[in-house]
Amino acid sequence: MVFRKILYFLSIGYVGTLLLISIFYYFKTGDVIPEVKLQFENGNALSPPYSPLEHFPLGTDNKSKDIFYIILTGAKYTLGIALLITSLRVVICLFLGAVFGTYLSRGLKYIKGLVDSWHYFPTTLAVYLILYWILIQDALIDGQFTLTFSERVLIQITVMVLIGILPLFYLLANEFANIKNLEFIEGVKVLGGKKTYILFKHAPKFILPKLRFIFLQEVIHVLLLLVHLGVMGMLLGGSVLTKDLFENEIFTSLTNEWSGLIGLWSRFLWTTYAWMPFIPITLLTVTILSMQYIVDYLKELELNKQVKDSYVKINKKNLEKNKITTNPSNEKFVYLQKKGS
Amino acid sequence: MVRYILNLLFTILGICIIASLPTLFRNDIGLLNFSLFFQNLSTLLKSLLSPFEVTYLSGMTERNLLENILPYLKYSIVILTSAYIAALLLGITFGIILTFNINNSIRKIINVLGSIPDITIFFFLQWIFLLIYKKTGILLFQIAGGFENSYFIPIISLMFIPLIYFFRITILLLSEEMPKNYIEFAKSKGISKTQLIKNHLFPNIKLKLYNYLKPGFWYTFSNLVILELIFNIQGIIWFILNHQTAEVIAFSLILFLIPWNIFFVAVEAFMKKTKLRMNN
Repeated sequence: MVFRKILYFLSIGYVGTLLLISIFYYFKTGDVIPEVKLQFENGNALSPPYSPLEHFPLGTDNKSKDIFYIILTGAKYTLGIALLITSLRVVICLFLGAVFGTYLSRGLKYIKGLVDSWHYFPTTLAVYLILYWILIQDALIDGQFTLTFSERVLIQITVMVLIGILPLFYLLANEFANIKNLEFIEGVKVLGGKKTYILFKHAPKFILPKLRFIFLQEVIHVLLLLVHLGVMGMLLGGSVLTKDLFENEIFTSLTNEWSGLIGLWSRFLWTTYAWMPFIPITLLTVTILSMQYIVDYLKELELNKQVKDSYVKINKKNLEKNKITTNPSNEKFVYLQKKGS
Repeated sequence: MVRYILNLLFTILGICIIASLPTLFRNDIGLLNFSLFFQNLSTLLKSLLSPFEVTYLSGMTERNLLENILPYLKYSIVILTSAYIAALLLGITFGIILTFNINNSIRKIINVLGSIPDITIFFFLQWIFLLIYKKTGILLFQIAGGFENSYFIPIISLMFIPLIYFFRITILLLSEEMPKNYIEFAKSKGISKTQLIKNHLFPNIKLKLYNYLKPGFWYTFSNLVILELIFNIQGIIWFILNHQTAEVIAFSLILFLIPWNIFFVAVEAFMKKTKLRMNN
């Protein structure tokens, strides 16, 4: 149990530290990524992607930029965007779910079919096809986007929020609708509690503890969606063509966001620089695993707490009922009641 | 029956709506151009009625969609179906075999491992195949733009994640069933473990397992999207991404998914029947 607790704090620490350091670095230096000078071996220039052995700690990319700082600056965008999209989704769905689940809970079974058929279209594919023109096709012709960077990001966030609304809304609406099946609600109704009263007085106690699991789970979903888009070549706010040291035109991420880096560097898997895509992939996998671990640990804690509470209650009751007072003595057995006396 | 047909029609309508959504986000003809969107949607719905005349542009030539789509469709269907069935069977079998050997902490580890992103697994597998090639010279898979359709490696790669999923579900369901009274009673009577699983445990979790068939399929399908991209498989997703018109998207997905939809509707109907029988 101690080990699990340590792991839990490590998970929180990992995600928190990454985010904080990344934000701190932005305010300190304004996201400057140091460029590594050309390295020579026996008088011959080595071409840029330097391995972690040649340049500590994570090597450089093909434009000779230090990967450690690229990853560091990208962290806040990846985590920030995921948190932002999830918060928007949760807030919208919480509102809609509360209204639907409380007042229109009979309509929920008609939505079930809609939610079911929604799943048949893979989210990744839908988002990719919807945003294809804005983020990729637009810049293919002349390398220039018609929309500005912030407009593109805004549209991308809107689409990514809206695409995940329906399943989450259905989940939360069901949670709200299930509250009226609880036993004590009958008592509330008898005493004159209306639906609105139940919604504001009783529902939060049942929904809010569940909400943090739902939130973290949703963050994981959004991160996965981001990575899928990155691998498909769709980067946050689009990618631009730039020139490297040797005047080769290559696509570059505008934000150094991790999922985009995975997408951009995945082609290096075939070369001798196979370690390159594995850096963001490993970091992202660890992020997702630690979030999943936090969810699991919190769920287990909740379960243990419930069991413990009920256990304590029963014991206290029993103790008071069968209170036995004995004189402290050295005897092994203390007869409570002698037979025949 | 009417409800199932309605459900099917709604699924088709939903696919059509999403397939024509990209017209809303084309900044060359104006963002959020709703009149064009509805125009496109109606032509798409009309084309569903005469499917044999639908064409698409391949480079500069116009081709018949249904004739050309079949090889891609077949390839994806074979990969997805075999991976799904193999994952289902192996996952449940492993779950049943290992359920007595797994303690709580291993279960927790499996739970966390189940959330490893598919991307990580695919990249890792690809890298391993590459290493094998470098070491032994055996090319397991046409990695860069293979024209010859290979089946073995994609199926094995696609199988991994649903396999862990079904394994986890089986273990979870069995562990829920274990502490029940009748199992204790059967154990105290001295029934062997194999008999216990065969006659009591598995029949009882079977019904609950049906609930997880559909999420498992969605899981596998969304993995297929990424698999086709990373492994450069020329299947249905590849076809969609290379010809992004509303007709291609809608027809590919409808042809690909409707057999599955019918299958799951049948599963649901069967489940309802069994539940009714059990209640009586």
